[in-house]
Amino acid sequence: MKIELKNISKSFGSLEANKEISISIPGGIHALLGENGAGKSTLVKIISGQLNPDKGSILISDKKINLGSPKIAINNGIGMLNQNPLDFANLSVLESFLVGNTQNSFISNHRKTKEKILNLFDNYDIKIDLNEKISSFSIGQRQQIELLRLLYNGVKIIILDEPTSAFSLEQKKMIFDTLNKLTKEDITIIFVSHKLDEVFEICDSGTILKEGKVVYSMNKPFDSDAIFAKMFDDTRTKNKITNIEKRSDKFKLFFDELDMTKHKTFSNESLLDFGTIVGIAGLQGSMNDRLVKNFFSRDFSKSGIFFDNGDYIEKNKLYYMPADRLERGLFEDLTLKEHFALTYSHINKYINWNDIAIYGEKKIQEYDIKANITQKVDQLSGGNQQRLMLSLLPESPGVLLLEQPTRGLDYNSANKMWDIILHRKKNDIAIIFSSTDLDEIWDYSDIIISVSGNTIMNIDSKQNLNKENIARYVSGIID
Amino acid sequence: MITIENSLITVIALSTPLIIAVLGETISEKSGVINLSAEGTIMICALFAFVFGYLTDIAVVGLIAGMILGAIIAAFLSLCDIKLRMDQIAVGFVLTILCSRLSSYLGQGYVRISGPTLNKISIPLLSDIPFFGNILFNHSLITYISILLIPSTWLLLNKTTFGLSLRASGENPNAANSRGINVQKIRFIGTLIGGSLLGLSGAAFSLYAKYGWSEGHTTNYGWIVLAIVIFGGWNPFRAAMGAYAFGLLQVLAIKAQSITLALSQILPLLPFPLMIFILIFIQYINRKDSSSVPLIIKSLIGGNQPESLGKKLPKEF
Repeated sequence: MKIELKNISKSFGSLEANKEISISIPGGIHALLGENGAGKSTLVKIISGQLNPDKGSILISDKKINLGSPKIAINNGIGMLNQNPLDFANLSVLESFLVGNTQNSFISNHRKTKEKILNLFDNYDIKIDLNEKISSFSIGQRQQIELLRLLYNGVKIIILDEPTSAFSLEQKKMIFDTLNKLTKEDITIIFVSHKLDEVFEICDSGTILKEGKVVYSMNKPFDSDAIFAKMFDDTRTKNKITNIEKRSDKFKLFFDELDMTKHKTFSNESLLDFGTIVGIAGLQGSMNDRLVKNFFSRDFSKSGIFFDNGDYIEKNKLYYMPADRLERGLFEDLTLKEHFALTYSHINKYINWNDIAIYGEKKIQEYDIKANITQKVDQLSGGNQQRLMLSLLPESPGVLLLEQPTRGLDYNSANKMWDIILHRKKNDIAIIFSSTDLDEIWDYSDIIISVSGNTIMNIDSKQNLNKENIARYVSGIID
Repeated sequence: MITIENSLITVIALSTPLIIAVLGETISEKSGVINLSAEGTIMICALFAFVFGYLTDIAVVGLIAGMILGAIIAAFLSLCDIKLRMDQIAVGFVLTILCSRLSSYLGQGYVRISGPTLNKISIPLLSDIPFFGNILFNHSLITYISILLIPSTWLLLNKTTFGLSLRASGENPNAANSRGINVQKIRFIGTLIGGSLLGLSGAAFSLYAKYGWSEGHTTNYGWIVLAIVIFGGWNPFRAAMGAYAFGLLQVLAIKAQSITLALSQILPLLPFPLMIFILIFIQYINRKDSSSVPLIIKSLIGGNQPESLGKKLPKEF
């Protein structure tokens, strides 16, 4: 199915998100590349009818289609898998499949529909009770359900908006196989991503966006150097851990019996140096995020961080950054200035907005947040939101607890993020982070905790491990 | 035996307007719109229904008038929500105050006069069943309607495409929009149905359950309705049970008057603290870590608030 975009433009206030974008996709899998904030999300929202462009048109099989209505987009066979699952927490899986999808005014023929859906699920080796509520699934599972729903609806053009961040390795492989199969059935896939290896692996053609404009169009075979040069201005090399400024104080991690249901290779008595980075590796949907949160909340387990003398580290020295930026980390309707005011002015009774503006501008510079201080948070791109969240954590010494600090970020944004995190390292007692990206774990951690499902499989320091070990641990294979 | 039978008949009769209002508010809230004007809407619709019934001397005309006015008020609220993107809570509150005061003013000439009332209709054969026949099948038209509305509301919400779209709009308007649902239209219709039922409930007060009109005739019932909706976990059956339980306590209070005066004064107060305690209990059950609570109790009383209840629609559509 051929799809053509012609001169698409869209502005939000003074921000020009898309400028005269023209792309022609004959079929196959087309990559839409670009840094966070390059305008990818806006463009795919326009294609899927969620946003109305200021200018421009879209042609499918040389026929101009109407824009700005999701219903029309669906009728034209355009389906989108959002970065975060766009579904209904309180509905059952079956109901979620039926929303907007039944022609009859009564929901009938449950058994037939159910069978059809279950068959589809079987094809992808997913076992799910259709009567279960959506809210009981992990984000990754919810994304899978959404993708299957699109296939169930028989879409011809699928937009995947950075979808693989939520999938485990095997699931990813399965999805890629499916995508390849789908292209043979004349289904066009628009693959929004910032993971170049994935793009090289499965895409047939691609477009690079930068600051809202098309800067490069490409076809297989890809020229990786050119792509890299076009995507990022400064191709910084990854920071390696250097010169930990050691202090005499030490701390230890304690793991509750409940969290350690299988293996205890890490001695509870081992003391860790200040500035140690602990990486918790696990696939999407495993307990790795929960472990980070447990250190903070200690709701369901006794796991925690102690000083040498056995005292818990005080709660006000634990700085926690959740994975879900908009749901739990930031207030989407508040401006950046108001966010800074919240963290800055708790010492005073009255808010001095001038001081906060100065403080905020400084932070914006320091953390490289591309935004205006009066902008609302929901207008920021993912990378900027992530850096904002980090900039809001107090800078006094403490323990940084980071849930997937680079979730959904592109290479450059992720690097920037780690620059900032490592910058803090020498002041902090410890940094504990979770990730589904084994490279990230390997590059930045001193101690690596490998988690599979709800079990800690292994805890060890990096010098005793290698990457393959970790990959096996997180997939639940032990020796 | 006779007293129990009579008491139950009274409970069902007295609960009639509450049931209707609770179901209406449930439908409205399921679509994501909290109709906080319930208190005012019920009050002014009670007056209107009585006036129209009085002028035409036909009670059914009053019922229809109440419904129409309820729908009009709801339409106003809904337009403020979906078109002007105003805060539902603020508009609802203002409407409540406006409608209550307006009813006192407009109703001055109608205080304590007699008008038409809905007659009891015995359903042949069924009403001859001993005990139950008398309790269930010897009521007025509006009571039958209220009983029929309970399963109908459940069917509407759970078994029709419209109901599913309505719930989807209340859960996540963004997602519903991207599935091609016209969220604004669905919310408008949902609020309209809800409002007309609130209006019908007002009519049921002044034409049947609390016959006649006086200033502040239905005071506090609207707020009770809002509480019962939460109590019912947005489930029509549970909400109806809540309304009947409330009715039962009221009837007990009336009966208690003949025993001791003190008890009769305490019993009418009882539903309110009881409701607060039950809501606290439900909150407790709803918390995920309360694994000690049996699943059956959880599924019976634990309900889920529509995720975007009371929230403004996103700017994009």
